[in-house]
Amino acid sequence: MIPIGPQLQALYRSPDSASHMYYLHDKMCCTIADFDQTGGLNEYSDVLHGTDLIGACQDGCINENGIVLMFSIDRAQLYTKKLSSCWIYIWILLNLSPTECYKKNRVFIGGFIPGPNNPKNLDSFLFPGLQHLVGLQKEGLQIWDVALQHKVNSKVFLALITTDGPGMKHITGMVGYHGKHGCCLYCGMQGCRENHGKHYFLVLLKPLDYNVSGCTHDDIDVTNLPIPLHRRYHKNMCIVISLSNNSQYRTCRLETGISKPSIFSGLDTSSTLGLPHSAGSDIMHLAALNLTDLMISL
Amino acid sequence: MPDNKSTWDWAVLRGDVWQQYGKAVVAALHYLPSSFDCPPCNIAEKLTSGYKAWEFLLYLYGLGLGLLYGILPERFFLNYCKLVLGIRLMNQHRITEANVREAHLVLLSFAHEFETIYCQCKQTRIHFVCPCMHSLVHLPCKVLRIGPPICSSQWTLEQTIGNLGKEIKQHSNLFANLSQRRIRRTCVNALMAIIPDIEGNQKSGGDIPQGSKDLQDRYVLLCTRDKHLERLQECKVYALERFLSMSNMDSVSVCRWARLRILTSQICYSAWKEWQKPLEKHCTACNVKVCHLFLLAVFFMPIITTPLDTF
Repeated sequence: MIPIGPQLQALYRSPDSASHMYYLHDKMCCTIADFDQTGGLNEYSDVLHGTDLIGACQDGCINENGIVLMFSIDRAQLYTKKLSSCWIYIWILLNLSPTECYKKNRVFIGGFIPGPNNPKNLDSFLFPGLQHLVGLQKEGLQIWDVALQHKVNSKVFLALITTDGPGMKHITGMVGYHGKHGCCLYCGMQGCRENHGKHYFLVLLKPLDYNVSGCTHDDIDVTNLPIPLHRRYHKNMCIVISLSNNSQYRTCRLETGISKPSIFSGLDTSSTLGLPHSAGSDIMHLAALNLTDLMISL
Repeated sequence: MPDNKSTWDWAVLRGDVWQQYGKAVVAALHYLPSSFDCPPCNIAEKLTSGYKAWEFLLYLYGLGLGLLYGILPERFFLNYCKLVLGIRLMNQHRITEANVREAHLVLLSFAHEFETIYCQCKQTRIHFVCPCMHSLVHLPCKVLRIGPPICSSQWTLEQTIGNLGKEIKQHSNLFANLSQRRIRRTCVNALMAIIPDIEGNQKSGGDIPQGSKDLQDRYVLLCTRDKHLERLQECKVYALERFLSMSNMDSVSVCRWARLRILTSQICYSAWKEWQKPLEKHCTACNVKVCHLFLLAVFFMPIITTPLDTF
């Protein structure tokens, strides 16, 4: 684990990179002004154009000196022909402009979980890094800003958590994409399963002659999908935690789609967007996976 | 009752058609701009072994449209077009509100139609609806909430994994080595942030290559160029006359440049040099888009516009 705090402090040590750190705040002011005037935006070209971050700024969760981060984790296979998988997570600094923040010298490597076996308890490996983050969120990060020539106390805000489909299951503590509530955004849509199958699939249209217990809901209207809600996720998670025996837990897990509390739920609610909102969609895996599915059926 | 694959009328890419198809993908290689990184290789051979995400993207949402036309039955093809449109809109770096609306409609309609024409409400086919189909439906709404998906995608992490992986020097003890590499990278990055000049000298020389001509505004003319003035053909003189609003330019001689770097750091080639090479040796990069017009760059030359009163 490499702590993120000192890495952030280093960025404020030269006038050039320190001034870049205020990109988010400057742009956000313009965006909020636009948003208030027209009630919406015409163009979306950065994370800060999303209503979630705008809301967080308006609520005062992100202030002028605030640092906004994105967490990204994935499993990596280092050699194609050798068992060599490991997990890596990085921090991306959203304070910088989109042309800067994804560059090699501005991507902070957070931690590295060596393999070749999969970590049994991923949370335990994430814990040191996140504990450090919580410390920064609670007490603030003291930074000497060279550009302004004074000390600033910055609050670190964790905006987004991104990973691929299977990784999301570990992060959000949900049952994963083959569960009955398979949507990683927790939209509440229920899936159907084959007669003797264990996997659920999120079909919109109910199959004909279909009578599998627990899946007999009607067709789902695509234009009217439920909105993912933090409140529902949180409430259901509390129920799952409070259960005392195993069979109750299993039924509840099936009904709520939550298998365990996420380690990210431990973060201060005013310094993160909160699950499942902060779960990012990963267009890279989406596009690639989607395609294989279609290709193979072709 | 198990599903019978012979009733899958969309399964057209089989046997010979599939092999032919793979070749067509490779043949398309030379028509892709060189700024597109590595072009897709033969999909028929490499599909299950190391076909990269970028290749898939390029293939499915770029080439596929042209290559599948006529092969795939019409209703499946139309369905596929919806997906391509939706994903292309969502993959943009700048997404307008109109784009979001359009993508929302088109992706919803895709998802619905996908189930109608592929699954046909059969219980044995519900596994076609993989989890990513569902995420697709949420995509446009997410743009409103957290901005373009490309900003929060995994490309950055994969890139980091890639370039860290390349740095491994001790293959017998790779995890420890990688861990040390990672610490060193962090230190170097921090140092570069504190003292930007460390990398400065190297960069200022490397930014504009030798023998090139800086045109300001991040446009740079790059070699090769004519050593001597070359006489222009009449048709080109005519074009030049019209551009400069002059007449009766009898014979014009210019120094031609082969390549131009534009503000996106992409490099346009010109037909002048590119067409001298055989097709197998290059990627096409001489088609340029200027103010919504698609043009062929024949060659580049700097024109210095001097105010008239100095003559």
